[in-house]
Amino acid sequence: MPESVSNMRVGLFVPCYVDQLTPRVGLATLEVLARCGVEVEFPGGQTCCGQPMANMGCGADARALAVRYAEVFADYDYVVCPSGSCTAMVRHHYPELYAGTAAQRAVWSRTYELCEFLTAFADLDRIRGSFPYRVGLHRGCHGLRELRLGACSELVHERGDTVAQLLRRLDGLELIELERADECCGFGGTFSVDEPGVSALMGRDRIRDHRRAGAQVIASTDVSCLMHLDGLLRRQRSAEKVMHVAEILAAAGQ
Amino acid sequence: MTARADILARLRASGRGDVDLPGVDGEWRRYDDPRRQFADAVQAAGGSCVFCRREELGGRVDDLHSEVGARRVVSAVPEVDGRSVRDLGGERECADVELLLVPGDVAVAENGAIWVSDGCLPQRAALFLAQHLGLVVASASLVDTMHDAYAALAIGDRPYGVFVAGPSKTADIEQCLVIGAHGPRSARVFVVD
Amino acid sequence: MAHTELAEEFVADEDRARWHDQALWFVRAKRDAAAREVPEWEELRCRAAAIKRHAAAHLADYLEQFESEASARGAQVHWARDAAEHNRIVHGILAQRGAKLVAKSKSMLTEECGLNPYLAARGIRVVDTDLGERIVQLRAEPPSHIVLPAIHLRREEVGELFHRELGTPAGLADPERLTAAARSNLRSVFLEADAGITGVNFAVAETGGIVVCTNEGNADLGTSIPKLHIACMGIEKIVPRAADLAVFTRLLARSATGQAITSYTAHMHGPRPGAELHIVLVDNGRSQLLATRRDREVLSCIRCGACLNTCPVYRRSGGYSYESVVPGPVGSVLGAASEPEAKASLPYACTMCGSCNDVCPVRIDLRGQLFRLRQDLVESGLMPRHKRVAARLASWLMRSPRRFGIAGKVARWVLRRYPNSSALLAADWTAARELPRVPERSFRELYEQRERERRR
Repeated sequence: MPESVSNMRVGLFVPCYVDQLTPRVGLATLEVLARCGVEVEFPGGQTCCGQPMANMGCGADARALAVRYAEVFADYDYVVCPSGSCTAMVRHHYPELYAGTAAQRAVWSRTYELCEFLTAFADLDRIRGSFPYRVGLHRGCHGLRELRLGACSELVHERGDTVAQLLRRLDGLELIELERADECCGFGGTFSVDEPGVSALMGRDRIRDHRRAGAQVIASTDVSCLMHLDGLLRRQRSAEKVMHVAEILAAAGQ
Repeated sequence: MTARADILARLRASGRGDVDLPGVDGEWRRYDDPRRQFADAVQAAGGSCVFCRREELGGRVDDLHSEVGARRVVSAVPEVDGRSVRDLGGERECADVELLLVPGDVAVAENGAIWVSDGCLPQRAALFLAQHLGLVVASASLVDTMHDAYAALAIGDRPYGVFVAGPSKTADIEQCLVIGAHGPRSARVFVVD
Repeated sequence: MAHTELAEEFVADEDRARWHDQALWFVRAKRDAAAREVPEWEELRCRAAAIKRHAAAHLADYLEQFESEASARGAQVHWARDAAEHNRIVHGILAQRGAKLVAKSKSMLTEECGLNPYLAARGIRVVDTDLGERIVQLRAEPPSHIVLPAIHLRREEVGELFHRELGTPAGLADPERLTAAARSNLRSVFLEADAGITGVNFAVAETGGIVVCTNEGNADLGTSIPKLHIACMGIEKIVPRAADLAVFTRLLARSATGQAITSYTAHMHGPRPGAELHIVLVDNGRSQLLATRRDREVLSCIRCGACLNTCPVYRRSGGYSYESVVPGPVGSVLGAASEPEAKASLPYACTMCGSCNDVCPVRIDLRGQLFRLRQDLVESGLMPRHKRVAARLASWLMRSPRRFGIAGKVARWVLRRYPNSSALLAADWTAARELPRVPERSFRELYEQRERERRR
């Protein structure tokens, strides 16, 4: 283990839409972290990272949220978040948009996406259990191309695959091969309603790819992508289910 | 103010910035078998490649004549027979050339390209109007990458020089590769030891 | 029209949108394979980025060097502040020599300047000789892609066009035979043209030479028969040294089409003996982009088209939905940076997936530029009012956990209680998707309850 997690104070940042729409992902995150010996606290003062506003171009409106974030998590050694996208907002776009004080920047930079955090700090032997399904891993773009949570199909570098590596620890789980390993699902925040036709076609194309490869579960580090894909799947009355990676890791350990 | 002065003044007003020009050397790819790589690359570019000794060249070129059924052959390669490229009249006369043989100065293993300059070819149009092209290059001129190629060439010394990789081609209709767009319909490289 | 509307129109024909997507994905896949052949690929991208950024920062010096070297080799160099001046210069050269027929090869700059219609209006016939460009020219359309101008057309459509325009047999749709028809049709143009006009891929300051890359050989043909060659280039095409060409020729074709190199990479230093070479250096807004350090980067673009091919939105919305000479991610940046008002929808034609950044051979931060352009648009008051209000309201709500908690509770209650009305209200979402299933309690409520139970 690179650093002892037992003495660390770790804060949990639950993105606003996870809080309101998929609380089970927050609970699964707690469970997985607890199993790895990481006790986290959820400070109630947190709300939203401001990414939806910033992506609309209204980053200036969300400045107060970046300041709030730094205040809420000031006393934690690390912040862990079950979203690649929100983590990228905090770690990459906060400093770029708001500069921030040294103290604020320090808090922002200590924010980790869940799989990243587990890989860096947790005892991975505790990630085990069985999940006997064929799983298609949908790469959230920000987790992939900003946090580099996996190999990027565009790059020639060899790179580790943080997320797949965790899933591969589970018995019975079969990671399927996609034709387009990391194409965007088309959610894109307000893009999903600004260009609904293009957005939905992108999503349906992703679903086709997973289906062709025989996925039973479409997994991702991001609930936002999954909410979009799930909406499309349910409209098609499809059998495939969507699950956050935390949910899979939690379910496997049951 | 002239446009020139105006543009230069505007550019100078925006300041130079501090990006250094990187060096030209690097850990560029080296091939274990550059000949094989070159032949593969020529093929991938839609051409073909033949390795032969200097004394075999005539015979190999004859093979190409009969393969493409060429009657009007023009040669810029001294040791290959044919009407000399020096005797070609105007550009428009080049349109009749069926097979043109030209020497290349450098061959590039990574992409199958051959450097041809107008030093050997007073009518550069012939290179593109000929129906078929034969390129003759010494095996000693084979280099690994474009870095080596540019290091070996003085591109500014002639009005015209071109890297030729395979025949002319296009994929502008539904991405279907078609060989023989405007220029030669085939290209064969003779690598001579 | 905004990108939104044009994209929705394009995607309404789902089969065609999918076909377009697959045609371009095929090119992206070839690009990936070609890049993997080069172990030092990422190093090359870094070099290319540094060379371009350095050249942009010292552009005035390099342009002067280029001019003096090119002139020493007999080329005549012209300078144009904008599109109008460029068109005047080109027309002036042609008119002075009585040129009536021009064989033109691909040049995005002349598209940008609207050269063809300008010359046509003055009685000069300009024939685009690149097959894809010829196809769209015959259809009186602009190119829909910067490297693959006719990528939006099916072979049957090209067949019909050639039947009408070139007299090929009705129903002929075989690409090979269609290409052969264009070849014989254009041969006479090459042989009879009074002048050749080309674009420029790279201009070398050190040697005063220009480099033109084609697969068809049309640029070389078009400039090796007539006595007059006019090369039109944006001032950003300069690279300092001949050796830099190695970096760019290794990257360009691999990024563009997945070829190791284009069929022809022509280097022209001065005119052909007995002929004239004119090089027109065009600013047309480039010095303005350079003045802003932030926008400067986009001038590194070498027009390979890789960002178009990888963009999941471009692939499914087509080139015309951008209404710009350069479509796709780099076109959105160029468009919104130079004409923010007219191109306000373009930075939003993007899911922020970032794939364009990773394929870009000169490492332009396209995603970041689009993100920042969105901020600029809002700051200049170019965002629709309802969206501006929504964002302000959201920020206000999120500034207080209490307000956020209450708003969330109300929204969930409404969604659960009135699913059908909610679906109607969220029509842009529900046209293709179901609304999320909403839980009774939020994570924070569940967490608080858990903590309370723990403490007991």
